[in-house]
Amino acid sequence: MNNQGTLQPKPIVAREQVRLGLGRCWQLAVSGMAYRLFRSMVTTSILALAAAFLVHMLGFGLIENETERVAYQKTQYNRRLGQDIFRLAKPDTNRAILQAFEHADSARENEYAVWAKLEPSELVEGRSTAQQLSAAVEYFADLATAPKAVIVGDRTAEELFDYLTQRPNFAAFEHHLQQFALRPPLANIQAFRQLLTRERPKLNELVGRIRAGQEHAIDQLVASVGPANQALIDQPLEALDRALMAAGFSATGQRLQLLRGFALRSRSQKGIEQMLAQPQVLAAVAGRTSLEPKDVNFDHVANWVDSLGEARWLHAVLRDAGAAALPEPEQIKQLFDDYRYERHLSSIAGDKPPVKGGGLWGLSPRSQWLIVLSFLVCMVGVANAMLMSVTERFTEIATMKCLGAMDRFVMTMFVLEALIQGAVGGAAGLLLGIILALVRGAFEFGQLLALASGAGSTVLMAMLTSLGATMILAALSAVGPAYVAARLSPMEAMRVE
Amino acid sequence: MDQTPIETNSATAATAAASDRAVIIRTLGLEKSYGTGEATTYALRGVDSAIYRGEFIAVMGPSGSGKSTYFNMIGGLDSATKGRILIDEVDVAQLSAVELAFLRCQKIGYIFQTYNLIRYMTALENVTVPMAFAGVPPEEARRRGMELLDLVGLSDRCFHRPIEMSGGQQQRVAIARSLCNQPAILLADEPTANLDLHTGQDILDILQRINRDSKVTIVCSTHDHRLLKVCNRIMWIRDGRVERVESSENIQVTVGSIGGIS
Repeated sequence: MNNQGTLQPKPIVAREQVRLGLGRCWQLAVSGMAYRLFRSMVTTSILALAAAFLVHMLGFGLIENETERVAYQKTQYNRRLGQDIFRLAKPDTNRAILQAFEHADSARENEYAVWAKLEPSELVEGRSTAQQLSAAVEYFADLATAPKAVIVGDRTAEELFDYLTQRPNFAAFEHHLQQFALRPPLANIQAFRQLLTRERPKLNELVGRIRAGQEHAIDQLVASVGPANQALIDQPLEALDRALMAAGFSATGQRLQLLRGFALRSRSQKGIEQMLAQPQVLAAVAGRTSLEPKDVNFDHVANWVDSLGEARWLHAVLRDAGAAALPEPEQIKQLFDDYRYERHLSSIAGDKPPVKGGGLWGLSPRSQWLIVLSFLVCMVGVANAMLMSVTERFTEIATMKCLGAMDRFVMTMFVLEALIQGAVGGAAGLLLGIILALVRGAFEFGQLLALASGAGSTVLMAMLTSLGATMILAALSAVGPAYVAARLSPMEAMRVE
Repeated sequence: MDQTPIETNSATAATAAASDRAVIIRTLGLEKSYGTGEATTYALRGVDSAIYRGEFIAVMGPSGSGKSTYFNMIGGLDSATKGRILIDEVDVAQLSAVELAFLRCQKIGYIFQTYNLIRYMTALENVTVPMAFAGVPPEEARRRGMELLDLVGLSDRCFHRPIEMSGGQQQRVAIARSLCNQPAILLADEPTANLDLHTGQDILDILQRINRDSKVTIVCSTHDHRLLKVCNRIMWIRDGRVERVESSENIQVTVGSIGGIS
């Protein structure tokens, strides 16, 4: 028999077992998974679901964040345009001027410097006073309830500052500070006193000068091109530009065109609003839209005029009612589209800038909390899946150990398998999760989802991180049970069924 | 001590049967117990035995006698509570985990009652697994695997998976697997218990052929009385102790019929 030679027993010597290379472990892990394809797929899909959940939470959080941020910026921008038109006709309020100083708004400061003939030093001083006042306002707003009731009462910030400027009241304030053991506003009490008695009156005087200067500039503008609202629409841009420059306004060129667009739009809107108030239009619109006549207004009609057909119909109704200078149906449709878009924008944006969580991709604390939770859920799912897939193979592990597999080989094989399953499951979950996040985003934000395009790279980062997290999680969860299995003596492992 | 007669018994048997051969497995006062204190149960209560190089020894005994435990001990699959196991005069307890893996992989071949093939591998892959662990190159391993499958008469089924094979075929694959690294010792734990008479006979024939042709030491635990014809010596274990060791010629002479043995 030709096997005789190869079957000759070798003498026994205690030697070290060969260590298997990663490649061989990989082969064994893959062939094992291929054979137990259905079971591997179940494990992988659990991983995929967990990853999808995580990616969805992360992705949607980021998309929501970015959409809200951009929407806020855009509404702020529109608001600013409106303000810019408004202040061509009326001087800025005290508050607006103080805010411009406080935020060191250079465009406005330059205008103020021209109108009130400010020295650079006055500008710097005004800025610092405005900032100190704002800090003081914040200080009083942050007081605890009891001291706040005693010190502030129901006064507004300006009233409070006026009140405290009087010496006896200030003495009482100092007394209250001691009584409640509060730190003084600003650096020390003298600085605050000085702010109230010296710097605030100076700033108020400065603001007065600015308002007077702006009033004068407005008069000058009206004298050369007429009232700003009308001039923005009628006058040639060059003439308007020259007149604005002469009056010391800084809105020029590109910005002027934006202002003109804004003015045109608001005039058209106002025209339609007025027409809608007429009884015959009201009745016609109410009949067509199933709105109550008393509910017919621009806002409600905007929901309904979303096609050219409706715009044409509205155009006909308004024309019959005798509207002068009526825009074309296409323009009416555009007007309502813009209106709806902006309404949507501001509904998403809210009044305050979105909360920045700092840390993790600038997510809000709420989203971070949700993500931590979903990570935990993900972890439990993955750990369970891996635990199952290892424990059901105890016999196989035992057999391999009988055949000379070392603990580290068993560990390596299971960790590799977990990594492969984590990678496949993670990738599938990544796609599923991001699709879910986009679909949910589309439901929540509609066309405004496009605003979130800036978050693309962050979302990609988050997706890759989730993928990595799933892989590492899977591997880590496999390490525990595989370690236990590898450490068992072969016979014990075989006894566990 | 009551072990003394057994000691002498095995000693006489040894001198009678194989005094000229070297001892390959020796156990000295081997004890295995589970649990502690009152609840301690003994599987082995001091087994002294010697197995000679190249012999075919059958280990017999009723269930619960400690047969399987004895097997696992001498195979290095389980650790002893007390006593020593010497394989080729090397104390198994002193081996490191890596050396133990080497021993299991290269020096001892295991055949289990339940075959324990790896479910997701073909017959050939199953046979090559221990060679992979031993670092044999895949090409060489495949070639050798085919040779061994041929030896057990299964070369035509090399690409079948365990579930596609009968019990006898699976056990033959297991035998091929146990032989792949040229072990010095083959441990067969009731290899025919799950098989019908005819297939069981096939397996025994194969084992005998291996023992005869390759001088591999075979230790085979069994209830199968046909084994008496095949083996050189028989060791009876009862209640965790070696009851009797006889060479097979003696048994046939003294007992004369199979019915009188157990």
